[in-house]
Amino acid sequence: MKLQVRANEPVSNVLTAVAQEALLQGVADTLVHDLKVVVDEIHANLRMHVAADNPELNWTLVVEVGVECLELVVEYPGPYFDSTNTKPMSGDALGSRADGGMGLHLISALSDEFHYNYQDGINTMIVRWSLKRDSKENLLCR
Amino acid sequence: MSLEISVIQQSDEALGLKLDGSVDSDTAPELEAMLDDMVHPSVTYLALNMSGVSFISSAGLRVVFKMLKQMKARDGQLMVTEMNPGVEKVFEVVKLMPDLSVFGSSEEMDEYLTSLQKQQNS
Repeated sequence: MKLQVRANEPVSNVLTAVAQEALLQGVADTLVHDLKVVVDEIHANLRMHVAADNPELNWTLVVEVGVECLELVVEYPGPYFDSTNTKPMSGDALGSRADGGMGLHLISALSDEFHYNYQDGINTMIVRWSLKRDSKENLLCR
Repeated sequence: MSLEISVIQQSDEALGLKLDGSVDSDTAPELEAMLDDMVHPSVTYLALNMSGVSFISSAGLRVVFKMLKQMKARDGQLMVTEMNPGVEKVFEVVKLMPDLSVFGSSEEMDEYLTSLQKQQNS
């Protein structure tokens, strides 16, 4: 499934489309939930940080269910920005804990792989979940 | 999916809300605005019935986190009931669970609140 998402698109439309496709492809409910959280985090992040100066920005979102892997690919044009390269969320006591980085922490924690590529002015984020019970390494997605 | 917020309990010290739907990056600001409006300085017990919440992302967690800090600063509590497994997993990932008072059912929480009220009145 491939979607073109406008920056001002309500996130519920995107989440509904992604969830319907994943469920149709036989992905388990628990994984669909985690996929939706990740899509919401990426959508909010792009809207806040990338589309703030460019409200006309569109991004492409692809969901593929492979032999061993559920894969989400998000691509958008713009300057290099590696969102996988962020500081981990603080694990301090409540009073001194900052909530920054929570979204990216969720993406990493709820998925099995989170990668970033930059080529020809296009940022690409790839998030993968294993559909195999016994292994989460070297996922075969295509 | 939208978010519906209904008031199930309201007094000077306590506020109970039931949330239904999705607490995502679009609906979390609605929840935050409602809580900012309703959580008066005298409120020390805030209860969120999450039985109807199908999904929460970091935007919603930030609102919960903000309310939790407010309640702790007042020596109060933020109570959460009936989270579905997906929502609970998200709370666990961001390490919010140890700071919350979590109840399996609203009856369990009501009993707890009643006993607290009795202690305060005695």
